[in-house]
Amino acid sequence: MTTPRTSLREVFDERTVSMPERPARGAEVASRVTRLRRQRAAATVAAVVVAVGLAVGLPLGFSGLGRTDRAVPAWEQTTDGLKVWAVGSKLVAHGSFRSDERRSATLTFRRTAGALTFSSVCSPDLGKQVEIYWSVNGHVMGGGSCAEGGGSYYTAGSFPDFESSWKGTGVAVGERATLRYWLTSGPRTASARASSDKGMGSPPTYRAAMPDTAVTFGIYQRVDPAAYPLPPRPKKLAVLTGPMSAGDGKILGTVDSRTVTGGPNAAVTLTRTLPVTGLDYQLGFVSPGQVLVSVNGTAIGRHESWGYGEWGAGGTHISRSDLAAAGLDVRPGDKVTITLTPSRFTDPGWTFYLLAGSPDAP
Amino acid sequence: MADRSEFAGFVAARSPRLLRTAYLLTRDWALAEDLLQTALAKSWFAWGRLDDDPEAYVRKVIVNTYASWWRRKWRGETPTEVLPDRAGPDALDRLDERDELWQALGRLPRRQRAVLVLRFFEDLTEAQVADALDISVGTVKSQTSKALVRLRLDDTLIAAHPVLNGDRS
Repeated sequence: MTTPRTSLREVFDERTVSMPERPARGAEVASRVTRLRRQRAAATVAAVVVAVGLAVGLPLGFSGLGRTDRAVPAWEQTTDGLKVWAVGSKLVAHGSFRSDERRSATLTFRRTAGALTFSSVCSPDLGKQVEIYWSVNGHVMGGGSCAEGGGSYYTAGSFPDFESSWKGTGVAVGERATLRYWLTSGPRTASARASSDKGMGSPPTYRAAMPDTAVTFGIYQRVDPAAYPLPPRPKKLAVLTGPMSAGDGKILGTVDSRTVTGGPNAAVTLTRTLPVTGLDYQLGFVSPGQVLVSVNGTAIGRHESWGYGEWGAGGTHISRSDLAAAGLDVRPGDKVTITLTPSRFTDPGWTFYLLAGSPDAP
Repeated sequence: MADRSEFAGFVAARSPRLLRTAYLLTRDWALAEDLLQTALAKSWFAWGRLDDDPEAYVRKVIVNTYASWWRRKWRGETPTEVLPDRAGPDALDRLDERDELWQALGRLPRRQRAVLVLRFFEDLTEAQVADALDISVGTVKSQTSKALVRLRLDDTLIAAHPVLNGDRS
């Protein structure tokens, strides 16, 4: 009997002993390089435009949208590399700078309503060694990394209270606010880590060498879903697959909208025994819509899709403390009822997997 | 320092090995090819700055791109390999055992899977794995240990192999 440790190499070798031929790989990589170079060149041009603006005395921070190609359909419009419409929100202000000239920049915007989402793109990609942070009126709202391409979208606050993202900023609807964006690199100090972990406070100030990159950052605000430009529906939807991984727990239940009586917007309930490790759930989407997740009638999550590509909300963990924080007094072994309330779906484009919580989950 | 004129040669010579690593992470040859090409294209821009081990850099881009992919979107992992014909009882047992181990590997969290692939397929040292994944050596050790424990405690393996079950006590 071999143990997993000794047979790992055998399994790895066995599984990779035959692989598909790819004679054109070199040409395909060259094509990708060309595409990336064009993207980087476009971002550099945008940065130069900003630099010229600075040279003639314009303020660095500016609000409102820059040049947008009106011939492009609304749902795929970009401005200086940022999507105009993303994750149910619209870009309301943005700015650009180069990291070899400065590490931070500010802009002002007027609060309209709803959730507050932030995104930035960096060309070339800054990699994981450089962190980005953003604040509103001096309150740190979040952080992450800055990549090229579509970038990542960071929504401040948490469901169900989008207003929570505005708490502490003192910004009412209709008022102007100041967004600050900054780059950091190097080893994080304890005070910097504590500051960012608290979600409020002053930004980390450590400094280290940083690669030169063109940065565009912007602020998005939630819009009425009816006013959000969805991409056109493809003739054939992507195939729902999943779950992402069952490695973190046993599957306790599955809901596939394609087989739900009443259609993709019909509510579904599952009643299961709460495991000691809590619960995990994963939602997969291939069409636009929203799914509210409730436990014993208390909403604990809202997940949305804004396109037709395969997208997932994976690995959402619900610990007993999470349930207690939501006002639910349930213990391992108790029966809990999970209710899924979908809406805005025009296609049966979602699946739900309920799993026993991972022992490793925080 | 790597010369960009050598990039094409590197792609031709080293891609098969790197593709295998990408496959062990993604468990899908098409995804593995996409992951490899993405990593190679990203690496091209850094090629002139790389020291004498560009393969380590590309491998690092592969594992980090793999991690970021799975943060942004997910796709189902459905092993589709067809087992070869079974020859006899001994071979059958070994095939069953390896297949169960392969399935169990697929159920590991992605970081633990990446650590095992880098340690036991790429034969990297713990320090090299730590560098590739941007984590500490201590985390590599703990993730390796957790992954091996998890493989031994996997329900499927336990059911199939009472010896493993006995090893737990």
